[in-house]
Amino acid sequence: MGNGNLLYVLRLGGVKILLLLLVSITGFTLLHLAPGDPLSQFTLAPGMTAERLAQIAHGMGLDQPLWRQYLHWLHGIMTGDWGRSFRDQSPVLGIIVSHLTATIELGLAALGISFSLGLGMGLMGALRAGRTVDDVTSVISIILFSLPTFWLGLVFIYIFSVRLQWFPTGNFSSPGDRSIVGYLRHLALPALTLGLVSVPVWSRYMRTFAGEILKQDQIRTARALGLSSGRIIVHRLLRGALLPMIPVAGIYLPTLLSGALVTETVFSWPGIGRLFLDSLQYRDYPVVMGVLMFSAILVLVSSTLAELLHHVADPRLRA
Amino acid sequence: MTDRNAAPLLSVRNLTVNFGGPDIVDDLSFDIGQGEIVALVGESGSGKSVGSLAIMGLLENATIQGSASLSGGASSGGQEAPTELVGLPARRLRALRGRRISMIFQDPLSSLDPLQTIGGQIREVLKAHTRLTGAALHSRAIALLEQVGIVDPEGCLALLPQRLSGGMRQRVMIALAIAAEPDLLFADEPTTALDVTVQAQVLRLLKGLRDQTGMAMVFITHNLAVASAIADRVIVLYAGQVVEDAPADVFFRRPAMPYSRALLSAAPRLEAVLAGYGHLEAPRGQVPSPGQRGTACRFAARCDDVRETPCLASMPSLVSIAANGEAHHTVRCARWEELAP
Ligand SMILES: Nc1ncnc2c1ncn2[C@@H]1O[C@H](COP(=O)(O)OP(=O)(O)OP(=O)(O)O)[C@@H](O)[C@H]1O
Ligand code: SF4
Ligand SMILES: [Mg+2]
Repeated sequence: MGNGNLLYVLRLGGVKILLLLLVSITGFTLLHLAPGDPLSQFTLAPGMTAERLAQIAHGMGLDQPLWRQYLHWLHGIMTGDWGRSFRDQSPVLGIIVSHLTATIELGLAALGISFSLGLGMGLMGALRAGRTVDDVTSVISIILFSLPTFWLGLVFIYIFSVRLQWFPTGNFSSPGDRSIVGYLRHLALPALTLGLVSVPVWSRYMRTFAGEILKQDQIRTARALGLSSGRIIVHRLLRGALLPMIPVAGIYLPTLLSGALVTETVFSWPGIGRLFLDSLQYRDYPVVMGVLMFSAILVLVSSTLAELLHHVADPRLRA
Repeated sequence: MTDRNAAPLLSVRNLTVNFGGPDIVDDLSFDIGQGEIVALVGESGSGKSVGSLAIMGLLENATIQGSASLSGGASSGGQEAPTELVGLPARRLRALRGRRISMIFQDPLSSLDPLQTIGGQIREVLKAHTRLTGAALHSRAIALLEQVGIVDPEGCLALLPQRLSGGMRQRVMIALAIAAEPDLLFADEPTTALDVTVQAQVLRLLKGLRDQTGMAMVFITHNLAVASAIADRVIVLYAGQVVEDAPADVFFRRPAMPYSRALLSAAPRLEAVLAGYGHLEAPRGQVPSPGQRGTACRFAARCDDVRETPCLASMPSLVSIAANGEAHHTVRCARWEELAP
């Protein structure tokens, strides 16, 4: 890596850290301005007095001015102490990590589904431009794009769980069932829901990128030189179309998180999406802020990685 | 170079192409001799590209009728039985492309793979057609680049197309096209996108390659001056038909078809072309579009010599006007004899 590249990475990093700060300030402020109070869960406890409540508030740091609370929180974040949950006093980072596996598993399964379907559909549409296959894949994309995630989830539950009883309605596993098959049956519907709703992103971009390459003279020339269609599809078409997909993936991968929020709620999937909504309901600020920051970092890391990867993968940028 | 007694390398008969609508190329017939450079000229839309692509088997969604028969090339000493290209299964056509017939196009930048080094692209073609590997593959790649006049072939192998100048790119493109030593090269306006000095260099290169290897060439151009610089024979296409087919020296001295004459009188001389002017100046009026070609002479509306009869009575056919012992010369004009100087 040359000096220019190092500078590029540093500048990229600087901008992203500023963005993180902005997200955290906005999140912190909005959260504390929103109606509701984390203390409300204690007020109804038997034998609760105003004094005792004030004590609790002090213990949670809620009696401090907002900016002080923020700085305290920020200091903690930077030193690796993400605070403790208001609900059960366990460390926020630990809670997030323990919910992460479920989300990652759901995310990967959904990604596998949406990537293979989306890229496949886009490629087929481009190769059969203007024919029936192209129209059908376009219409499927548009339909999937306009379906709300929760609605699709509920429809799946109704059809496959309630009517056909093929799959459980939700949760990570059934009590007492630790088998892989049991787990996969639980994973199937949420993964399919989350996967299908993100198909259109990949299929539309793939259709566009692959279509552009097919229009280029290089494809006709490759054929004129006697290269096989397999070689041309893999080495010219796929390679050329996947390259611009890298930054697109960097931008759209994190949107899986917002999809996961809904999917996990509909299917009671114990990931960080559901953790976020639960914590929001309990006004568990440290956990909410923790998940928020975690997601923001994920978004930035993902887009940064994609940019770097694109830089490495495109020989024109290396030259 | 041209040996008219030998069987032609490529023999095209009644080739007709449409895309579901009217015929774009209509009853095209001509021969290309071994090692012969034939200029295919005609105004835009006359079907030069479509006809060539049809022979190469590179058209999609096209209906192709007629025949294009490729005889055994220089490599086989003409011993192989001719291969009919029209209707040949896609796999067999692919195996012939690059190895027996090859093609280069106008814009070398968009013709090359932008993501692969020159070396990678040459190896890709060589691997598709030869069994070369390792050092042999490498030295063949170097030899090809030297053959097309690239000064630092070793360095060039590592470069991406974007790093080369237009002329270098077209040289690389030519190297790719001749990598498997084809017998026939279609060159579709290969110099049009280049600036004039480079244009002359590439023309010299192509002619030199023919002299070296005996590869025949169909050189498609708008530009009669370019045609005169390179061609052994000239075929004029008008509205999808051959209207004149003559040896270059005969064609430029005594063109028989009024359309050819109009083109020649409007065309600038070679010096002017190389100085930067030179596109084929069309005679007045317009080429009838594929749907409106009618049953009369297609040039009638623009022809100064048109007569009710015979010009409008029926479509003139392509007739041989070569006197005994003269080289092949055909023309599509009902009045060629009266008009002969
Ligand atoms: N894929 C296609 N589908 C339908 N029509 C086509 C197609 N390709 C070419 N044509 C039509 O065929 C006609 C002849 O085109 P062609 O490209 O062969 O002309 P040309 O002689 O090569 O002209 P130019 O000098 O402009 O390259 C044109 O009218 C063109 O619109
Ligand atoms: S047939 Fe008649 S109209 Fe056609 S080119 Fe000859 S003279 Fe002109
Ligand atoms: Mg053309």
